[in-house]
Order: sequence, then structure tokens, then C-alpha cells
Amino acid sequence: MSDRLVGVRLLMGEKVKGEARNVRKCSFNKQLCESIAGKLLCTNFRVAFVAVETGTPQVAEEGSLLLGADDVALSCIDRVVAVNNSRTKILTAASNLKFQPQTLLIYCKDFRLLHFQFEPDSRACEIIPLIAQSCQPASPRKLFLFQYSVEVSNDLDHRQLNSNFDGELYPTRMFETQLDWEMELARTGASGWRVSLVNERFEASASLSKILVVPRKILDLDIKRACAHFNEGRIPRWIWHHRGSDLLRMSNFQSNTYAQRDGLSKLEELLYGAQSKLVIVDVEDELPTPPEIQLAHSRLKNVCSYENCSSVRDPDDKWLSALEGTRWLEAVRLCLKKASEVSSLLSNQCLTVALQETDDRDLACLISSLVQVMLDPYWRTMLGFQSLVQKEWVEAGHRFSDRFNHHWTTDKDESPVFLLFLDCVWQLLDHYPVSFEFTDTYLMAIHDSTHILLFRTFLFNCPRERAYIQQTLATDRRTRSNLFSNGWPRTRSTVRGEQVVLKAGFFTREESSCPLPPVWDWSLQFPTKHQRLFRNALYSDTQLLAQNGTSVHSNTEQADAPSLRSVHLLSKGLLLVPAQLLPWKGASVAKKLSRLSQSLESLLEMEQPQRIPLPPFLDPVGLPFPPIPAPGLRLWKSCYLRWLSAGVQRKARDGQIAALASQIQSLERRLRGEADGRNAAPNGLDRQGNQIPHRPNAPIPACLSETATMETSFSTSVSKGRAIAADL
Amino acid sequence: MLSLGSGGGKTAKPSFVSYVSPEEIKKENVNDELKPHLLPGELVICEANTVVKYSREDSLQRGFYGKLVCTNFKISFLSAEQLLDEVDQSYRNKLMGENDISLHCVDQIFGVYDDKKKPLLPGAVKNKIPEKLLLYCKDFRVFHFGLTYTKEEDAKRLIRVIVHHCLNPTSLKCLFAFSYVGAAGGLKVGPLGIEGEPPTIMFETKNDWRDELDRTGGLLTYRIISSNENYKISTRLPQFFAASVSDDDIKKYKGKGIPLWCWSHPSGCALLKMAAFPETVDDNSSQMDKGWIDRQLQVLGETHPLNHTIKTEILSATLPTLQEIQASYSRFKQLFLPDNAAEFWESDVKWLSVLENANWLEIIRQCLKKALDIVECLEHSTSVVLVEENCSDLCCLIASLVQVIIDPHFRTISGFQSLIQKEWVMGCHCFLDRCNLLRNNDKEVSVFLLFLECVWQLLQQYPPAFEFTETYLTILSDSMYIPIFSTFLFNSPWQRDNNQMLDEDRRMRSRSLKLPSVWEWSVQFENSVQALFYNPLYIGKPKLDRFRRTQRIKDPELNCLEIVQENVLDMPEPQRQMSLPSSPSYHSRPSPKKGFFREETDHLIKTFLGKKISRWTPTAEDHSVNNRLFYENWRSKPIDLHGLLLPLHDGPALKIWGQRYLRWIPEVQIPGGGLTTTLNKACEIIDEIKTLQTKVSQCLLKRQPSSPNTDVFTPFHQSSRLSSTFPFGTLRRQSIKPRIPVSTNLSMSFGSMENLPDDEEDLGLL
Repeated sequence: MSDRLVGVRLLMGEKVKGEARNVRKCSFNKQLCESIAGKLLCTNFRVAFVAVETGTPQVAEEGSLLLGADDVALSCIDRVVAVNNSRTKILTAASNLKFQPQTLLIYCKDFRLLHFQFEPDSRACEIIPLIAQSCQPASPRKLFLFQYSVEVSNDLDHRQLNSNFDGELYPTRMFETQLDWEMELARTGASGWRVSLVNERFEASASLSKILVVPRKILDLDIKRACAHFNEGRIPRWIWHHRGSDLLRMSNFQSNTYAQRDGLSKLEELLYGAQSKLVIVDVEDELPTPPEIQLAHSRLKNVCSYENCSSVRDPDDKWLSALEGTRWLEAVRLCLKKASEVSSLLSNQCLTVALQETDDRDLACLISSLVQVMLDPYWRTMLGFQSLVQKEWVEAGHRFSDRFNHHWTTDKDESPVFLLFLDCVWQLLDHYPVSFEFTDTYLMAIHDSTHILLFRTFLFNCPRERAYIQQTLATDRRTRSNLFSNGWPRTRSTVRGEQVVLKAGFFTREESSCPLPPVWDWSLQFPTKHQRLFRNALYSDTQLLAQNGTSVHSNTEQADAPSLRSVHLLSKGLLLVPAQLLPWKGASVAKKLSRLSQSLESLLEMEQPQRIPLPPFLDPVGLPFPPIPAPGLRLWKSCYLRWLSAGVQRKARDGQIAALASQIQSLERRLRGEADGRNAAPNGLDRQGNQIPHRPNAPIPACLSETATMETSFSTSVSKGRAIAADL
Repeated sequence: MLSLGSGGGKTAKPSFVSYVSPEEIKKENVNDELKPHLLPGELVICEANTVVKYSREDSLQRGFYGKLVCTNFKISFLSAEQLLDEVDQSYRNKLMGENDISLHCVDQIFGVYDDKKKPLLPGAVKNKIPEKLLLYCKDFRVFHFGLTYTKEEDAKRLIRVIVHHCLNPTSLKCLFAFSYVGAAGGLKVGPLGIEGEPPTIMFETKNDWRDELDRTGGLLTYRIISSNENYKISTRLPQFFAASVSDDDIKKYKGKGIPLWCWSHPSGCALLKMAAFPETVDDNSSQMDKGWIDRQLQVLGETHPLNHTIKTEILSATLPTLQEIQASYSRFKQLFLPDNAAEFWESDVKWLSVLENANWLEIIRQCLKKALDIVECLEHSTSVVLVEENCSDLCCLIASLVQVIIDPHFRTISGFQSLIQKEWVMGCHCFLDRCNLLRNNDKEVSVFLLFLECVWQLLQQYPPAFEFTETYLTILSDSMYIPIFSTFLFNSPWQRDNNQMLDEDRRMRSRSLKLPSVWEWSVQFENSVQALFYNPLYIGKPKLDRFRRTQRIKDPELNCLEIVQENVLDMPEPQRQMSLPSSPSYHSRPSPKKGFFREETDHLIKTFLGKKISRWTPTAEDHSVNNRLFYENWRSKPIDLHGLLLPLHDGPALKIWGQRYLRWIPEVQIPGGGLTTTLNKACEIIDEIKTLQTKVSQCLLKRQPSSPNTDVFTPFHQSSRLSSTFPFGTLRRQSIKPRIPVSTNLSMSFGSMENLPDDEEDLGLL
């Protein structure tokens, strides 16, 4: 096998493009500048380092299947810097080296810094520009992903994996099909809504998904008309239902359009949905803009990087003010505050809350998904969370490609809004450790996957782009395998009104032929052992079971009378009566302003949503989490500081609880064995699945190891410690 | 309940809108029947009716009517309505109710006149009665009492009394503790701690010291000195202590300049502390003193079997001064005393930099760092002598911190309590002055609190390594302000023994009037509350017990030398191996250190005595590299919870002790979340394991399940009902919603297998 020769376990379709020998990898971790000799490889997917002594790359035992411990995916590289005695140069794809570099620094997007030193005889001059070129693909189609996917799709092994994934009992709902949305409507108990296929060919809106949920009363024709009044045609559409309230999302109004009186009433129908009270939440109000988030993130990267790791240690440097100076935690705090306001609105009474943003593709994703995590225990399960990301980010058209700058096209659109969301969820997880099915390891896996371009989830700007690429890929493959090439246009040309089943069939077929796997297929990335760390041992799923009751709690009293309608604007934690909210001339809302003051009375108690008396304990049925004040916020150290020894600090407690949980498992297994009368050996009891914090400082969470002693000593201490309780 | 709502205006200014006139209230007043719960010897000084206590949870818009009583021990607010609410409370202090404030716990008193907050100071109490009385407590509670409806003369008198008793200087004999003990006629001293637990060693007798020397293997070089019995030599030394000097020398120098033994490392080197000589003008005597110290250190080095090196650590040179510590703490303290929600949210924006400016975390960091340096020396077989002017403040802090880091024994409850006895109480820490219980000096420094802070940092970094929880530490820190316990009441053991006896009893040496020690937790808490002290995740060390037992058997009258030699042989070698992160590379280094350190100490002593305390600069760089190496070596090994626990002291690793500082701020409270839920969940899981284990054993024995075992450990509460600040600051507003049980397994008894939801089918086969 060629990969034995190379020393790296290459992926399918991966090719070594260049290598340099006599390279030393410096480990900053210990500040002692230890270095290991080896060779540096550059493939079309990664930059890898192979140590001479072992001959094989350092495989992260419990970590990723794709990347070794010393590897970095090309897509994860942020900057390539060549250093000579006198000169430092940041390399781009176009630049060429004019000096003999001694040191190569690779700055990664996940805050890692790789430091290589070249011996004079190593071919530094060749490999460094090669790395710089490879990490900035000339065109999107040159991404390794596409070669990989073509190879992989022919591979039987992968087929099997894929079928495994699909065959899961409760798979992640991708929200790519009509069925998913209908299930969601049924799950939440929303009424008065229907699934519309008006955007099936992306004609109504280029950036929205194929499936839209709109009020039942409105015809597809009216929806198409309404699109003109919204930026990018992103009309108000149903997202979620909670306790009689509906959550909508929309982009800003196109104020320069004029509508007929008839069209206006349709527009209002669209906005009010099933309710008579509408609150419009401008999500851009008070929140940082995407460029500000990007700035905060790069400052955070600076603070958490090696160069400034002295600021982490040095007593004279002010760590806390440096951290505050990044304003990252401030952004997290504001997002959580906003989400908390919206969620208290939603849980309060029957109304429609519409999240509005200029283009409805960044902060609206963040706020709406945070609100749902805060209110609905379903989204706090792993599959739920994955479905939520699909629903609110992928299908809603968050511009992953631009925001992560995957194609190095332009810097100015780059903004890690999604990473901010993950951080917010982590804060919630940190505060409510028993309410989430997943752990921070899981969040970190998602965080890191955004930088590995092998999955379709975080690759595209909108569903349309994905559909296009996938079709082209499929076409490519068919052409290559000499199959008929006109497959996809025919599936496209389905007549509207065709039966759902048939359509679902089409979609599934298209899906199965889709060569790009979603990131949620974790078995592609992680061994099962590691995936076990994704599950929170503290989580109890009774919360979820209780949730099923809420779906009954739908609004039976449909307020149909339009005269009672009211509209409010949530701004700075206050509900305001908008002077001119709906910008269309002749809008009926404007006329009703006089009546609005009365209905305002009824909403008065919501004047300060964050002051709404919160229940003394978290209701399992899903009352909102209160906003987290600054003293409660913490830096996500296990993610941002994991490459610094200072930040690496495994929670021994977590391992302990995981050990306990696995002890339960082994006991249960044993009981089962007893029941079957098979395994009667008395010593099998304490053996298996025991998990202890073996390597407290490993960036990749504690590995599983089998130690029986711990359990026994544990139970003795327990009996000693808790015996007091029993004495009472 | 007279909680009256107000229109939800957005005013930051709290307003109380009453629809009931004060006259009406008085008519139906039932508060007259309320009697404060008085301790023995407690007397009511004055009281006032119809006082409103605003509750913080309702944004100070609503409150309770009640009676405010000031006694010679506490300020107590009594309200008929609130008593009903308290039924559910699981956390109860027997001495202090929820609305009681010990007089010594009051930090600042403010009066609100026309919405302006003005401090009330003794001697400057105005005739005008404030609308509101604000009491800021040292345990971070803030009380808002409205006096608008109170009778004028009552209110005036009450304010005078409160200000006088809370802020005026007093004398030791006037402290409540003495009238308490006098009236109680001598408390019967209950068992220390909970039965079945090893008792706290008080270090008041020779044997206690001997046992400790024995346990740590320090008997070879150190002996117990009893020449200070009855405080013949010095009042700043305990009656017994361990050192390696002769009795004559101690007499000569009156306790100064003697390296007192604190603890011995398994390798044989020791941690010592020493009071510096006072700076004398007389050149001759300082020369003499210097020579004495040199000789002392020489003796220490030589007598040691393995010829260890000795390092002197002058704490005042590298650690912040006591004044800095106090200034920083008072700045830090203010962060957690917001008047109302608006003020709190305002501080939210600049939180981190304000926190940084307070510098308190930085001081904690420096202490941890210093302790780490000393741990490194000890681990590399270098004895360390801590030097401080009085050897009773930072010496105590660093010495005890080092011991917590190295010795797992001090991470158990009884061990920790013994440590405080050994280092702080017997180390003559001036609790009376440092807590400023008499309010007559400016020596108030929260050194002990700083120590608890450092331990808390360790605790949150390595939770399973400690037998106690943060609740234990918080309660311990609160107990400092309840002036009943002998532990925190005196400047030295001498003062305690001197004051504890009434004059007529002195000759008899009767101990009948002994004040309770704080370790008698049953004075304060029921067993159910004491259960909160125990960390469910703690992993006990079975080895330790055995080890100690073998040592105990030995006859204490045997020759010391023999015992120690046996001990050295007995030393569990593999275990030391675990705790000693000495890599071969470290040892293979050419080490000029031995001689070097000697020079270093000499040099230091010279400069020190020459009143030129300069920073230890010449080798700082070298040292920090070593330090890192030591640290990294330790980190690269799997963590041994019963070995060395090096604290992380980098900026990101330090946290705020949330339970202590944020517990009364409702905005920070996390309902149904926080660390408490984690621990609670752990309890639930442990229950489950117990259940399953029982079942397994029953299956093995093939016998019918007997009556349900009573050995089930119930967690403190349902997870969903806990908040992050548990057990403090429980939210009063109870929800009327039905509780949904979190874990169905909890209610399960061992016998009934059908109740197991998941394994129903499998178990049905049994």
C-alpha cells in the first residue's frame, strides 16, 4: 500500500503533492521548545507531519478518523507564514518566496499554531509555497471534497456507512423534504399552517429552501406576489410553535414597493399567521453585526494564541481585561439576552413573533435557534440539535461558505456567526448541565467540523447552491460511469400538485444518490468509542417525555377577527407601538393605530420581558432560561485554549460521572446476563466500559480505559460520605 | 401576605406603593406575638414594629411587614408571613435564621434619605429618620428595611442601637460568646464532626503533635517542645510545638527566630516557618541574631539524614502586603453588593475589567504560585523555611496551602479541620484582629478568607480529590462572623486559655466554660445539613487508613529514631512515585543546586537582616524554567487524586467563588442548573448503582428480596427544584405547578423489580 510508504493514512482520492524531509516540529506546549524530527507532507487534503522515530503519524487515539494529531486540514489553515532570520512573510497562493525560510508557522482557524523548523537541506522552498497554494483553492470546484466524494461514492464501504446512517432509528431530520416540515408542524401542535412548495425551483426566493410553511389561508400565488416586498424574497414563514405562539422569520421590507389593497391584506395575513397579536423583533437591534463578530473573534484568537500565551501566564498582563477587550463574551451575552427576551415573549401568551433581519441569514438564524434551544427540550437532544441546525441554518440559507470564507474569495464577508451560536449553546450547557443530551465534546466536534470541508452541511451558501452542486456532481459521476446523463432534469420537472408520497420518493432517491455526506454522519469522523463521549451522562430524558404533552397545548381559540389585531415592535427590551412599521402605503395597520393603544394594555405586562417573573425552578416542560449575566459567562476554555497547556483542563468530575454511568451499564448488563443464566461468573461485574479521566490534560477528552479498582474504592467512599443521610 | 404590586414602571428607583394605611396594619397586627428565637444569654435590646423588609427578588417593589429586633447577638427580622414560607427550607442554621444578621456580620449601614444613600456612622447618627435602612453583611446579604410606617421614636432608637452595636468598638469580654457560654452553664462538648468520622485533631496536647510527626515521618529530626507549657516563654506560641532546637535556645530568643515545624514530606524534608527577628537598631544584637539563624539553618541541614538543602522563603518579599490584600478585598467585595437589579445589570457591561481592577484574583494567583514554588522545592528534597515578621499571617496561609496540595490527608474534612487547627489556631493567627470583631483597630485583613479562596480554586479544579464541597467552605467562611466559636475568636491560644476561664476558676484550671469550637458542627446544623458538606464524588483512599493504623499501633514511648526508621521502610514506595514527578532528565542534570541554594539562603538572610529586602532576582529566570519543567512533568502524567495536586494558576483558570459571592443576587441564580445539579445528579446515579448492586447480589444469592433496604441515599432534592446557589438564597416564590419527577428510579425500592423502567423485560426473566 502506498500509504504505508507515505506514513499517513490517506483518504480515498487523496494524493501527496509534495514532501520535505529533515523537518522538526516544535512543540510550544511545554515552552521548552522540544522538537521532533520528521518529514512534512502536503496532500490535496491536509498538511501532515510524520515523525521519524515512529514512522507513522501520531494518530489521535480517540480523536478524528480523518486527521491525525499532527495533521491539519488545508481548509483549516488560516495563514501560512515563512520566517527567516531577518524576514517574515505571509504567503498567499500567488506569492513566491524570495528567501530561504528556516521556520514555517501555520496558523489554523481552530486557534492552533503549528511550528516547523527546516534544516538547510530540506526542501523548504518548495513545500512552503505548495502549502500556501493548496490551502487556497483556485476555484470552488477544485476542493478536495469533490474528488473525495466521487471516489467515495463508488466505494462500497461507504455505502454501508451511509446506510447505517440512514437506518438509524431516529435519524436527524434534514428538513430538506416536505415530510420533515409536516412532522414538525405535528410535533409542535401548530395549526393554521401548511407546507408550500412554492419555492421548489427557487423561483420565489433564491436563498430560501424549497419548502416553506405559510398560513393555510394564503395561496401560493399570493406568496409569490408577497416575495417582492421582502429583501431577497424572504417572506415571513413559520419556523416553530410553542404554547400557542408561533415563531416566524423574515427579512426586512422592501419599502420602495407599492401594493394593491388586496395584496396588502394578504401580506398582513402572512405576517399575522394564525394569531391576532404580532410582535416584530428586529434582531439586529442591540446585537453585534457580523463584521463586529468577526472582529471579536479575531481578537479572541489573538488573546488565545501562542504568541500571546504570555498574557495567559504573565502576571503583569491583564488576562481579564484582555478577554473583555475582545468583546466576544459581550457578543455572547447580548445574544443570550436577546434570545431570552424573545423566549419569554413566546412562552407568555398567544402571539406571533416575527424575527426580522436585513437579509435574514445571520443573526436571525442564531436567535431563532437559541430561542428554540432555550424553550424546547427536544432541541437539547443530539438529534434534535442536529435537526435544529439543519432547519435554522442550513435550510434557512445561512451563508456558510461566505461566512467561513471557504473559498478565500473575499475577507469582508467572513464572520463566525455559527461559532458564536455554538459558544452560546455551550454557555447554556455550562449552566444547565443536566438539561442537554450532548456534552461540550460534541459541540467541539461540530466546531471543528466547520473547518473540514468534506461534508455538505457547512459547505454551501444556500440550499439552491447545494442542489446545483450536487446535481452537477451526480451528473459528473453518471457521465463518468457511462450512465445516461439526463437524469436530473427529468426529476426536476415534476408537476406541482403531484402526490407527496411520490415527491418524497423522488427526493429520497436524489438524496441517496447524493455523494456528499452530512456532517451528522459522525461515524465518518470519529470511532464509536469517541462518539460515546458526545453523550452527557447527566442527562435524563424524562424532560423530553414530558414535552410530548405540550403539543396538545395548541391554540383552540383562533382569533379570526382582524379588528383585534395589534402589532408591536420589540426594541431594547420594551414593546413599542411602531409609528410606521409596515412601509406600504395604504396599509390597514396604520389606520388602526388609534385602536392599538387599547390592545397595548393587554400586552403591558410584557413591557419588560426580562422582568417577567420567572419560575423558581426550571420547569421540565420548558420554561425559558433566564438571561445569563456577565458573572455567569465563561470562556469556552476547552475549545479555545485547548492548544495551550494553560487552558487545557479536563473536568475530572465529568469523567467521574461518566464512570458511574458506565458502571450502571455494566451492572445492568450483568443483571441481564444473570437473567439469561449465561454469565454467572461473579467477577465479570466490575470489568467493563469503565471510563476514568485517564489523561487529564489531553485536549481530546479522556480516553476510555478499564480499571476495576476505581469503582470499588468509589463505592466505599460513597457509602462513607453519604451514610449520614441514611442515618437520619 | 401583604406583598403589594406596583405598576410595572421602568424606574430604577424602587417605590413601595401601599394600599393599606399603616393604621389598618397596626390594628390587625399579629407581629406582637412574634418572639425572636433567643439563644441562652441573649437579650433583646430594642425592637420596632411595622418595619418593611423589601425583597430583592421582586426588584424591591414588594415586601413583608414585620418586627425588627436587635439583641446583643443579632439583628432579627420577624414576620408572620415569612415563617410560613420557611417550612420547606432544608438548609437551616440553628443559631441564625434566614432573616437574622449577627452583629459582627454587619459590614456597612446606610440610611436612605430622600432617595439618597448616606452611610450611618456611630456618633454621627442624624435626628432625621431615614426612610430605609440598608444593611450590608459580610456574607454578602443586603437587607433593605423600610421604616416609613414605623413609630418615630422606635425607629430612632432602633437605628441608634443598631449603629452602636454594629459599628462601635467593643471589648473582648463584651462579646456575645461569653454571655452565651455563661448562661448555657458550659456547653457539653459533643463529638467533633459526625460520628464515625475521624475526629478533628486540635493540636492542644503533646500527643496530637506526636501523632502528626509520626504520620508524616518527621520524628527523626524534630521533637516536641513543651517548654512553653502554660505560656512560660512566649504568649505568641502554642503550649506545644515541634522544632529541632533546644529548650535553652527557645528561652533565649523568646520564640523568635526558631524554625517551627509544620509538616514533613515523605522524602524527609520539611516545611518550617519562622518569625523574623524584630528589626533592631542595635548592630551588635542583630549580628548575634544573624549568627543564630545561620547556625540554626546549618543545624537543620546537618541533622537531616539525607543532608537536605534548605531554602529560606521570605514571604513579604514576593507576596502582596496585608494592606494590599485588604484593600483589594474591599474593592472586590463591593462588586457583589449591588443595591438593585438595575445597578447589577449596569455593572454587567464592564464586569471583567472591574473584576480585574479589584486585583483579588491576582492575589489568589500569587498565593497559589508561591505555594507551587514551595511544593516544587519540597518535592525535590529541599526543606523550606517560611519567614514572616510574626509568622502568623501569610506563613499560615502558604504553609497550609502547601499541605493541602501535597498531602491528601488534608483534603478530607477531618484532615482539613486539623490543618486549620495546626496552622492557624495553634499558629497564633490573630483571628480577633484580622476579623476585626472588636472594631477597634485597622488590622482587619481577610487572610483566612484568602486561604479558603485558594482552597476553593483547587477544589473546583479537582473536585473528586476533596472530601468536602464548596458548601462546606462557604459555611466555614460564614462561621467566622458568628462570634461564638473559640476557633475564630482569639489572637492566640494563650489569649483563649486566658479568657476562657473565669477568674475564680483559674486556679482550678477548670475547662467547664469552654467555648465551642467551630468544628462542632452540631451546634449550628442538623445532620441533614451537615450531609451537604460531603462531596458525593470524593474517592476515598482505602490505603490511607491501613497506613495510619499501623503507625498508631506503635508505642509512642519508643525511641523516636527507631520509629522513624521503620516508617521510612514502611513508606509506600509506588505511591510516592506517583506524586513525585521527577523525570530522569531532571535528575540527570548536573545540579549545582545544593550548594547554590545554601549560598542563596545565606545571601538572603544577610540582606534580610540588613533591612535590604530585595527581590530575588538573580536566578528568577532559571527558577521559572525549572518551575515550568516541574509543572509540565507533573501534567504529562495521569492525575493522581491522592497525590500531588498542583493548582492551575493562570489567568483563565481562576474563577470567582460563585457560591459565596453571588449567592444572594437573584439575577445570577440559575434555576435548575449549575454545579449543584451536577452533584445532585451524581447522587442520583450513585443511588441507582447501589440499587443495581443490591440486585446483583440478590441474584447471586438466589434468595427472595427481603424488605427494602434503608441504605438508599437520597439526593438533597429533585434536580429541577434546585438552583445554582443551593443551599443558600432559596427562592421564596414556590410554583404551584406539579412536580415532575426527574428520575423514576429514585422512588424505586429494591424489592420491586417491575419498577425498573428500562430493564423491565430483561428483569422479568428473573
